[in-house]
Amino acid sequence: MADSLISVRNLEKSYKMGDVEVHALRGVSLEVKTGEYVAIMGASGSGKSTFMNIIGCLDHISKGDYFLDGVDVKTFSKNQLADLRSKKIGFIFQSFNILARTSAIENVELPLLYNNSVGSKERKERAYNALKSVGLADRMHSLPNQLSGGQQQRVAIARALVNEPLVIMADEPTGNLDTRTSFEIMEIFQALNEKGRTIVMVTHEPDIAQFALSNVIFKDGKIISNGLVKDRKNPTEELKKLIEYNLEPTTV
Amino acid sequence: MNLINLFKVAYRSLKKNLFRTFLTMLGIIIGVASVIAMLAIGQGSKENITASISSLGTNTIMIYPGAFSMGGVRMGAGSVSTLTKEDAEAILRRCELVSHVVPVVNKSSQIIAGSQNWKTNVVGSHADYFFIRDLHIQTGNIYSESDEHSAAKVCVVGQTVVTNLFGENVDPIGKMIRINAIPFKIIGMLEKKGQNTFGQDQDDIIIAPFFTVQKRMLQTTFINSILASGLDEKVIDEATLEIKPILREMHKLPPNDEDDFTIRTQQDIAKTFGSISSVLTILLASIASISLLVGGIGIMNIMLVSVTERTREIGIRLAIGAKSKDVLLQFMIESIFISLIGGALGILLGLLIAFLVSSLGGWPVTVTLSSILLSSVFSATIGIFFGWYPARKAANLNPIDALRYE
Repeated sequence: MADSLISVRNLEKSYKMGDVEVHALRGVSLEVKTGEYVAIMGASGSGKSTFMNIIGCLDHISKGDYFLDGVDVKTFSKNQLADLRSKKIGFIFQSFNILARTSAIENVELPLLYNNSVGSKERKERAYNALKSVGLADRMHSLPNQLSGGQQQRVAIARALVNEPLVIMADEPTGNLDTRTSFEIMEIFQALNEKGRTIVMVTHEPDIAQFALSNVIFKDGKIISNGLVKDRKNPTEELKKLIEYNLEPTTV
Repeated sequence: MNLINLFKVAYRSLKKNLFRTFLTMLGIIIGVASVIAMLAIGQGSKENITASISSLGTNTIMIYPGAFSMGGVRMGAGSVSTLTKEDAEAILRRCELVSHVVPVVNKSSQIIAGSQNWKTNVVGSHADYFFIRDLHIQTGNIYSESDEHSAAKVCVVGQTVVTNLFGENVDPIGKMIRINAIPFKIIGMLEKKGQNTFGQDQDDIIIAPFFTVQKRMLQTTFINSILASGLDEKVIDEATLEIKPILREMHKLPPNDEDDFTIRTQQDIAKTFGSISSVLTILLASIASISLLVGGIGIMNIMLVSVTERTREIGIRLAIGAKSKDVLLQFMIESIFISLIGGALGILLGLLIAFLVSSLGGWPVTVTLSSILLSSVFSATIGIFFGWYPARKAANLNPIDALRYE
């Protein structure tokens, strides 16, 4: 438990939809250690998104235990959860979720605005560096509608990184992107993981899951398989192949 | 999140919807401006009325015959003459706080001069009457003491009377007029005074020696009123208190009977009119503040729309670490910002309206600091009050639901 970054035991989650009680998670246990790169797979309604919301500290637990970085999250209040999200978690969403009509750099600065220990000079510097690390330094003043989907997702990645979180949680990060851009995003993930960043990613695309170190498969609110990826793929090579075969028009 | 950042965030989001922000502000601007302008106009006319009443002389005391009861039947005030010349003399003799006291008789009479005639108010009083009423002679003289003793048939006329009897710019001195068939010689003409606050023409008057009017014209022993002037404006109220027991004694009133006279001062009248215009001012201001209220509801409406529209943004903010408090403050600051800036612009517009009313309309206008403070506080309160509910709604959003919101 102590050496696990994320430690989930017998987690259950149920909520009411109208009169029906939905059991989204029925006893899930999972350990994620620092430096791991986990892809969570499963069909729609398998509970993977609910699980993601819980380990992302966006939702409360019905039953079971959840320790994030050794801290018992179960008893935390709304504000304490917000604090955890601000300091320990970086989110990436399927639909990018960056603020409209707000420049790239301002979007990346956003998490730091809610962190009182960061001054305005340091905030700008860190936001710039984060944007630079995803290769968008030259587009820092662009508005979201001037950026492509891939670029928007890269802004979102920069925003997730800017707080130096312990873990990056990505919910279908490639769901709205074409294959080539997906691979490019995966390249960034790979590079982050190689630098020691822990990543938990939800995806329903098997070929995207192949880039992770290990795969966890959900079905009906339970984990049915959890193991290392055997023939792991490298996004850089896949991208090369893609361009060689010219399977996809070159779009960025 | 610290406050400076919150202000930045609020400012950025208001700037993104500049026109909408302005329209929302407009409600507050108009509300505040109308409150300021109404208060300024109300206050201005109040001061104008008070000033013109004060110009009649604030140290004048007027004593009228009061309620008279006979065998338990109370007659209305002024129904019976209870005052006499001796009352006036007693007041002058015994009250130390008054400088001049005169008995006054007056009657509205038909005046004839040659082929012209005119109905006017004929006042009979001593020469001190001119001092108490602050009347000045333009040409000629006031009647002398011997005129008074002999009940001489002389008079001083106001300019309206002159104009109506003799025409414009005629020197009436030495001319004869007939009042109730008694011939009078004009020995003086008053300076023009114009209308008083109540719209009465103060130049439509004839003043003659007291005995002339009382004995020759009216043939009575009673008088219509007593006019007195205090030593000083400040002692008027005390003087009134001194006069009361003197008159009660003169009229031999038993202790339980009510006064058969009424004492009024110019200050009382000024106060009455002041309070009337205060009521009008409050009325105007409350009508104006309704528009301020409507402006506030406008803010609430827009903020609610804004919260719904930005549900996703709120979800994002919550997901990346914003606390409920941060979201609450962000929306509160936005609404307070709208109402404060709106309030400031409203004050400027209000001042402009007040200025235009006074310079173009010639209406007296006084902008008071308190009206500016009042509307500033009011508009800030509106921002807080009407911003609270939408902000609360935003802060209580569940981040998961907010992120899913389309």
